[in-house]
Amino acid sequence: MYLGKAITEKDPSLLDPKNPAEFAELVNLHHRELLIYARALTQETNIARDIVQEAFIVAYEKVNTFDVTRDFSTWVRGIVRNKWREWYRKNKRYEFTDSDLSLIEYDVSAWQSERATGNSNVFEALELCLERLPENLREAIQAFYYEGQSGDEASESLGVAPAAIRKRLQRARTLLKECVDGKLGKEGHALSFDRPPSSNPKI
Amino acid sequence: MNPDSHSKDLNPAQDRLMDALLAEDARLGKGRDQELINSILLNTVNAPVDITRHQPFARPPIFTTADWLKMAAAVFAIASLSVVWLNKSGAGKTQASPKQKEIFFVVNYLDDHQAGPAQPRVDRKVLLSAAPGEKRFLPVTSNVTKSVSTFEFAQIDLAPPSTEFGPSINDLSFLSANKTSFKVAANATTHTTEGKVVYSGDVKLKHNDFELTADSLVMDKPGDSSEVPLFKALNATLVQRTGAYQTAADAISFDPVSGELVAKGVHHLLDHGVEQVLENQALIVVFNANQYIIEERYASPNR
Repeated sequence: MYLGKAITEKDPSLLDPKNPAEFAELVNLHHRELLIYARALTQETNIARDIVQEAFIVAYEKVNTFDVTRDFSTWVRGIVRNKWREWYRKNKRYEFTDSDLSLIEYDVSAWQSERATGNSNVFEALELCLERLPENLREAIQAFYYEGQSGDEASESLGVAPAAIRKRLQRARTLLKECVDGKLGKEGHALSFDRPPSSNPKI
Repeated sequence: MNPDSHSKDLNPAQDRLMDALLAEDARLGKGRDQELINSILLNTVNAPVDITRHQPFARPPIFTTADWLKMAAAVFAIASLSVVWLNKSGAGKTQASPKQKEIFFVVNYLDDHQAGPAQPRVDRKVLLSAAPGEKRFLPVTSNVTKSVSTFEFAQIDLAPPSTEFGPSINDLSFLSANKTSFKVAANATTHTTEGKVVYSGDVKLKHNDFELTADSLVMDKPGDSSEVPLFKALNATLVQRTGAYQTAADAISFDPVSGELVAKGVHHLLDHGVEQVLENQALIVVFNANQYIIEERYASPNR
């Protein structure tokens, strides 16, 4: 039985998904970043978890078609994207362009790469960045995300207008993004786009 | 971190990503989603075989061996009694009764009527699988058929009935434009017993999003959907329909599982007409959605 624990000290880049034990390690290694990716696409945690689970199951079933010279995390992210497209076709509740997808892909591929190469992961970077956030912004983030308050509740507890809370949250996310990018040294990650993705037509 | 710096607000997609990151961090911090991992593993590497592979319940036998022996004994006894009775009654002697002759005549008549005029023998297996009027081919290992270089399956006229066995170009009608979102043209096609189609010589694959040319291309037989099936093309070039991206590579394959076009051994990569500097030719470039990713060699090459 593979209980989700790291069972070898093997270089993550050499893990073979065709080996069941190593497949389990790859699930451990990549599931959190894929959850962020799927949640950013679906905006719902439970659906994101379903999509990530289905993607890993498909990956396992089709593992014999996987080209071992390729990057497993890119391949599974592609499967997650396919699963999300299926879901999005049936549940089109919001607009999502290919350009949006490119921007999200760009960051998630960097985060996955950092994790796989054994460097700091995005959650560690976020923790450091949260500490550096200005007090008023950190309070808003704490109330809204970590205490689960609604915008109105946060507004009441912090004694500011709801519009100000929304603005603070947005501002905090912008600053956190810049900080996380800096912490993860985005320039040096293994997976890279040659140019920043833009609103190019679909290929 | 200075909140008064002149950072622009995030693009809505990036804002959504940071929102997802914060939500995930609030949910589990730096830890694992152990419940999700367990669920994935239970459906993959730890899946119980009896659950994943449906096996109907074995039915208990209706008759046991002892039952069969009893029935055999009963049949034997009845047969023996019949023989004794026939011997006593004089039946079964050399002279046949008129009634028996009549029965024999009727059976003969029916046989002749069914057979009708003499016809060549036809392989029963072929007939069984063919619908009325449908053309079927015997399975063969491979058979090469020439076609014109500008051939497109959606436009080809039906050829006169083939006198030879094996697949002809008409077999490829499953690629018709009505059914699929792509077309393939080639100088020659070959079918394999594994259900693949091999195109060789000036191969062109036209898709709504891209056009691919190659020396040869191997493709899985398309299913009922309009999705492009798995294919691998050798010595290929890929041009996005709008011309934004072009690449030339030793091989380009399409992976329907991840929906990605994967170019390996890339010689050139033009991005909006600008040649991209590639550090080596072993690069893998993955195209998906509206972007490409240069994927550095991640796995050990000798694995």
